[in-house]
Parts: sequence; structure tokens; C-alpha cells
Amino acid sequence: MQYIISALILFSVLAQANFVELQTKQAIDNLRYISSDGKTTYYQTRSGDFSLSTNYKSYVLLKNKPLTHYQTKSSLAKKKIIISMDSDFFSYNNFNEYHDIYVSDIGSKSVKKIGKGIPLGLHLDDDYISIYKPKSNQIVFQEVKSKRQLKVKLFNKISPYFRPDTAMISEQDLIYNDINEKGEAAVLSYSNIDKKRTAIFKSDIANSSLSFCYVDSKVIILEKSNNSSSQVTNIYFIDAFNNKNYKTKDLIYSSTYNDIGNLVCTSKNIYFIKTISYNSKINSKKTQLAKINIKSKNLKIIKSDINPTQVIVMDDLVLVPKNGKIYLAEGSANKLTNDKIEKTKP
Amino acid sequence: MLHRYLKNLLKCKLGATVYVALYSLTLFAQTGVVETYQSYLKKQDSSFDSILLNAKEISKDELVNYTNLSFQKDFLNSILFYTPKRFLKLGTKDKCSFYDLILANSLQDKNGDIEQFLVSFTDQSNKLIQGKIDRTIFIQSVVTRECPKSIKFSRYFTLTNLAKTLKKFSFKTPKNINECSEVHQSYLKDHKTPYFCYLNQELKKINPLSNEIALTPSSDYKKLEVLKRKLAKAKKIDSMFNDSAKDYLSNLCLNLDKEKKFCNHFFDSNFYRQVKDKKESDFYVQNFCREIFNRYTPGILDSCIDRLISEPTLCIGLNKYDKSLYPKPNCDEISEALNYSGLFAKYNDCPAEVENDTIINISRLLRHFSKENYPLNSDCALNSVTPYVSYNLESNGEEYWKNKVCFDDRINKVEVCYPTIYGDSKNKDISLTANVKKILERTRGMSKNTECKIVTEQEYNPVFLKFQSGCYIIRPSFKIVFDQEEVKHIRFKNEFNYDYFASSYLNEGKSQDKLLIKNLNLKTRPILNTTLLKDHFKNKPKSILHAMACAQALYPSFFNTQSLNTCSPIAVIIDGYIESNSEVSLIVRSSLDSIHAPRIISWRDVFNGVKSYQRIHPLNKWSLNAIYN
Repeated sequence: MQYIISALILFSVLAQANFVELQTKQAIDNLRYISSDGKTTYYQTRSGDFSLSTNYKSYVLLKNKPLTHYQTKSSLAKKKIIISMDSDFFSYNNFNEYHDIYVSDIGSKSVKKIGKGIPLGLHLDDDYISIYKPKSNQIVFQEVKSKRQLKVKLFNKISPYFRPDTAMISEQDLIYNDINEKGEAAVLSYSNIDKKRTAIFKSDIANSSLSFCYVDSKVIILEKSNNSSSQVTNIYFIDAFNNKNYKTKDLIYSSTYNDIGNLVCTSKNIYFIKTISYNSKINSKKTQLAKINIKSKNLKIIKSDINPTQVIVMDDLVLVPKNGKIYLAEGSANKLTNDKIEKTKP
Repeated sequence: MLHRYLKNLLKCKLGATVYVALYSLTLFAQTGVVETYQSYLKKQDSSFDSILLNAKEISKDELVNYTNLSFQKDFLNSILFYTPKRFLKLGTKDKCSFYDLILANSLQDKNGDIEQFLVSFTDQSNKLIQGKIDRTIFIQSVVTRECPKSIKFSRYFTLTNLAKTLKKFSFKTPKNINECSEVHQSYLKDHKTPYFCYLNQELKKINPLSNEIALTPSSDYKKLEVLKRKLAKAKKIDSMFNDSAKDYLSNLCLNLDKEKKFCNHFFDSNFYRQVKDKKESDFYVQNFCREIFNRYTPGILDSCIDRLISEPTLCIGLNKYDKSLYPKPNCDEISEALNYSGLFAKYNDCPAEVENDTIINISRLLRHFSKENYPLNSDCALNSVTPYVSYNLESNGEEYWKNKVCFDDRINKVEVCYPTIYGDSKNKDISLTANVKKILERTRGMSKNTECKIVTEQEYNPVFLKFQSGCYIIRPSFKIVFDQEEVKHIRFKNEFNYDYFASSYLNEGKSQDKLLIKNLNLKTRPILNTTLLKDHFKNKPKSILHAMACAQALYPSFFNTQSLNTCSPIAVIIDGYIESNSEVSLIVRSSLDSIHAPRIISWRDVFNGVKSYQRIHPLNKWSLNAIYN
């Protein structure tokens, strides 16, 4: 028997400080997901197809009208992928419009339609998906296989283009962030059993924003000020268990700038975009990708000269999109450039 | 005074290099150098006095058919020294512009207003003549002959004609820093400017004259009479200008040679202070004030603006009425951005209330560029939808607005549809209430005196007498009720799709950007880098830049990228820029932002946003373009 360890994608390395630019056989703009070994990719075509490519074979998973735009979302569990389908991407712009949402097991040729809305994430080993419905101001946590749903109504009335972060501690306990009508931000837990909300974290900073990840029983919260004349960013670790009323908070990072943020987490590290200098006259920030090891809490700046503003974690790859290009900030380029066909020993 | 003399004399006479060198010397104030020039000046003045005293007086007859007339060197030196440099700049264009200064009494020699002109010329018998000419003769015989239009023009500014002239004139207030440079340059070329600056000088005399009159003993009645006559003239001029015009004049005439200072006067201050001083529209603060005070009346404007200035963080969270991207910048940042902004903004909009975000952008462009005076509506969404729909139906046809209210015409056996917006627009052709009324009159025999009204679900209560008859359209479901019965034969057809920028070569001519440029007779050019951008705003300060960008790249602090090629397209308008240490930031309003809360966004982020959208666009088109008249 022969099996192929192939890289469907040929990566070449273009120096950009210590980031490398991804170059693939497929046009980067069509790519929607890539595994860290390069074996599995999801991509779309202009004709409206959404396809899976694996082991030199490709399979059309979804078909729709030309110029349909697909977006994906995966999780640390690496089991499933969320696909959202926007049929009128170039002719109808409504920031809060609901799109068709599908879920597929990574590498599988079948997809399952979940519903409509704005997908937020996968939870509990990818058994659940969270969907934001801004028109009804709700987050729906839905079991992928059974369609069991938990719904949480948000307080937010002040921010029409708000996008909450979500997590699930268990099938009955949810975490999300919200803003009240005074603009005060909080990360809340919701127990479906007693239908009760508890504040995990309320920001003491006036006019601030919160974002969070949930990793290994820890709620990791990035708090930043929205006021350019009083800048501050903090990152806290808060244990989700054995922490009565979430009173114990561990401040592990603090900055006197408003970081761009965009916090993402892996099981070992958190990544975010750190502001390293600020020109207040023209509201311009110089930035770097920052990484904090969850265990040691050590901060490392991953230097580049591209002024990163976003970071994506995909499988084991840490990617930075900038100016229409995708840079590899962490992950093995060697693994990805492997374009050989390997044979198993008899 | 010495500095000014050196600046004037040396710049004009010796050339820039020598001027800079000598001027630098005086800055270091080496006593020897300064004294040398002071004594030089004394010599110049006494030499001028003696030349003027001894000069031959030239009669009108001697000037018949003169040729080669020029001013004597000492006379010119005296003018260069005693006339403020800023006025001299107005006289450098051509000979007539210099004569304009003479006619406007803006030039001065050692003795103040010039009464005699030291000249040389060749007379009709070809003899070189040197001497002095009386001001009246100079104007009649020289200026009238060489620049007759200047004479005609000067008549508009005599005390008798001044009021009439001023009625036809208004001072150009620049909308942004870039436009300000253009306005300043235009005043330097304008023949009216010397006259305005003369009037400004007259206005400035009121206080000194009043003081002098108070100090002059009544026994010196002759002097008093002259002073009182001068004061009466200055006061008459004063009565023809309002305070802001006087302020404008003073700024202009004081800064004729200082463009930056002239412009700072408009933009260096807090923008909201200009709203308070009625120099800018109160639309910029209406929604903020309404939220702070729970109401808006012009009476609360001053106290509201005082709060916006003293508590700049207030603006960050004020979003109840303009329903736009939250958080906003703080009030100081908004004010700074508005100082550089040129977009027409005398209305309120509310982006989140409009179905297709790009309608916000198109309406902002329409209200800025179109000569059409689109009506203002109390429903903020209609302030955006109405211009878009009216313009598209009129210029491009029904295919660009596919929202319709329809019914079956049973007699003709056809479906009849009327293009409609979901509100009570002043444009009756597209108003939902007007179209429903039209259908009910035809199908249910509704009286022509009955009007349809849009009410909310909370407002509609059939128990109340007023709802027991008549026509009601209940939001948000848009259920129609006529005489308490639900109307089911009226249907809505909705479609909001259209290309803002063309997504295929086939439909290129049908995209909103192309149609807008064609129908409004505008020009367009791509803006690829900051050099082009700065150059463009310098030459066309009233331009607007527009583009489609990925929200995650344009506004990374608001939206995170979840995966490869995550992009939520948003249309943006850019109407100015700020520069600091050769870095450029732009004044940006996306289709999610309030029209009254522009953001200052670095060129890096704008480029990233536009480039990211270009990367996924089917035609791979760079969408950041300037549009201009």
C-alpha cells in the first residue's frame, strides 16, 4: 500500500524581515484554509465553487452562483471547519447581513448546513458552533449534530457593528462579551441551568473594549482603552474554575499604548498585535506581533518590518495578512515546502 | 522696522542669497552691522526728503504722449521700506496690479499715504524729464492711460458705491486646509484685495482716531475737524461689515504673505468652537447634543459645545441617534479631522439603519457633488436613501432601485409596481405612504382626503379611536391596515443589489461609480500613493476620494481577521489628509461611520484595506480614486 505525503501547495520563501511570504500553486486570494503540513486546503473559485483539496485530489463541496465569496473558521481542536457563504459579496454590502453557514469535518467531502447568521466559533471539541444574530441581538450556541440550541440575548444597544467573542466551558456554561448602554464592557458567563449571568470581568477603564480566548480552563482577556488621549492595554488570566466570583485575576501584561489587540490563542501561546509607538498628531501606530507563553507568561516580540495589524492561527501556523499578502510568522516552512511523494515501506 | 526694510529692500533689490546672508547677520544683532544700516537708513530718508523737496513739479500738459515712465530709485526704496511687505506682494503681478495698490491707497512712502510720485519719463519732444507728479495728476494722466480698467474698478470701492459692491460679494471660507491654500492664492491674484485691505486699514483707525479726538483740545478745532471727518468715514465703512467679515478681512490683510497663518486662523482652533461661533453648521453637533441633553434646541448649543470641548471623551460613546461604528474617536480627534475635511455634511445620517451600506457612500457623494438640493428628512435613514433613489430613478432607470410596492390590476390583468422606499419621503413618487395611498384609492376606494401614516408596533393600538379608521403602515413588519383590516393584496418586492465598483467587464458601465461620474459630469483618477494624493489635494482641494476596502484591514482595532482572506467590504470616503514627519494620515468616513465623526486613519491602514479588497476582487482593480469637478 502506498500513501502519499504530499504538499499540494508549493511554498516558497520571500524574506520580509523574519516573516516569510506564502506563495502557493493556487492563487492566495482563493485560499481559505491550509493545514500546517500543507496536505489539506480549502479554496474557492470565481465561478462560485468551494472545494477541498487533499492528496492531489480536489472535491467540490459547495456550488453557488459566480462571485460567491466564502469565508472559513476553524478551531484549536482541528476537527471541523465552518464555511460561510455570501452570494452577493460584490453587489450587496450589509455589515450585519446573515450568511448561509455550513460545517464540515476537516478533510471530509460532505458539508452540513447549519443555518444563517454570522459565525463566531467552534467549541467543545468542535461539537458546537456559535452564531451571532445582530438583528435579534442574540448569540446562538448550536450543537452541530443535533441542532440543540442555547440562546443568549445581549445587552448591547450602543454598537450596531459589534462582534462578540464566545466560548463554552461545558454544554450548559457559556462565555461571551457584551457592552451595556453606557458603553461599559464585560466578559460574562451564562449558566443555562439556572439561567444566570455572572460577570467574569468588568473593565474599570472608561471607554474600553474587551476581547478574550478560552484555553485550558483559563479565560484570557485583553482589555484596551478606546480613548487615544488616555492609552492603556492589559491582559489578564482568570481561572474559570475554583475561582469564586472570578475574584482572582492575574495581570500578566500591561502597556501604556492602546494595542491593536486582535487576540488569538493556541494551547501554548497567545498572540496579539502590540503597539510600539504612536504618533498622536496623525493617529498612526507602529506595531509588532507579540506572543506570550501561557505557562511562563514570558512576552516575546516577533519582529518584522510590515507593521502587522492582524494575526491568524490556522492549524499550527501563525499567519499575518498584510497588503493582500499572507506572511508566515510561525510554523515550519520546510514542512510546507515538502512537495515529495513518499512511499510507505513494505 | 530694520528687519522689514532689509527684507523688502534686499529681497527686491539684491536677490535672495544676499538677503538671507544679511538678514542672518541682523538676527545675530552684531552692533556694528545694525548701526551701519541704521545710519544708511537715515541717509536714505534725508536724501529722499531733499529729492522730493527739490524735484521739479510736473504738470498735466507735460505728460501728454509721454513714454518710458518709471519711478525714481529713491522713491521706490522709500515705498519698499515703508509699505508692509504683505501689500507689496499684491503689486508684483504686473504694472496694473501695482497701480491698484496706488489707487487703493495701500502704498506708503516716508510721509505716509503717497501724495507725490517721483518719476522719470521721456516727453513728446523726446526729452528725458525727472520730477514729481501730484497724486491726482498721476492717476488722471498715467494710471488712466496705462490701466483704464483699474480706474473703472476703483470706482466700485468709493464710499458712495461701496455698500452696493459689498452686497454682491462674499468672502470665501475654505472648507479644509488644502482648499485654504487655493483660496489664499486667489486673493493674491484678485484685483479687489488691495481695496479690501485699504478698507481694513480704515477700520483699524477707529480706535486710534477716537483716542486722538479725545486727547485733542477743542481749541485745535481745525485738527479736530479733520480727525472727526476721518472717524466718520471709518465708521461708515465699519457699518457695512458684520463682525465675521471684519475678522476675515483682518486675517486676510495681515497674512497676505503668510498662507499658513491665514489658514491656521480657520483650522487651528477647535472645530466645535467654529460651530458655536456660527461659522459652521450645527448639524455637526445636533445628534451629540440631543443625546447629552435628551433634546436639541438651538438654545442649548452653547452649553452643549462647551461640554464637547471640556469633556472630549464624551464623543466616544455618543451613538444613540447616528447609529454608526462604535466607539467613535474622542471629540478632540473628531474636531481635528473636521478641520481638514471638505465633504458636504449639513444633514444627519444613520448608517446602521440603511439596508445596503454603500447607499450611505453614494448619497454622501451625491449631496457633495450634485447640484440637486435633496430634501432633508426627520427620518435619518431617508436622508441617505432618498438621494440615492431619486438620482437613480431619474438618471439610471428602475433597474437600480428594485424595491417596489405591487398589486394586481385585475381589470388589465397585470401586476403593477411602484418603486418605493421604506419611509415617508418628501418625494411623493417614491414615498411608501404615497404609493400605498395611491393603490388603496384605486383598489379599495379610499378617500383622497385620507393619508397613510407609518407607525411603530408600539404606537399602533387599535383600541384607540384614532386607529379605528384610516390607513396605517406598521413598522418594522410593514403590515398595512386600512379601516382596521389588514391589507393583503399589496406586496413588497425587495432587492438591494448593485455594483458600487464593477465586478465584471460586462457590467462596467453600469456600476454606481461609473454612472455617478458620467451623470454628474465628474472626473476621476486613481490615487496609488501619498505623493499622488498630496499632489491631487493640492491641485483639486474640493476633491473626494472613494474606495472599497476590507474592514479588517482598514479598521484593525475594530474587526479581527478570522481566517485567510477574511474581508467585510466597506465603502469609504476620504476628504483630506494630515502630514507629520513625512507620514500621512487621511480623513476617513466609511459607510459604517457617522458623517459627523470622521476618523484620522494612517495611509498604511487605508492602503492595506484597499489592497486587501483588490486582492479578492474579480477584476483585481485598485479602487482608491479621486473624483472631482
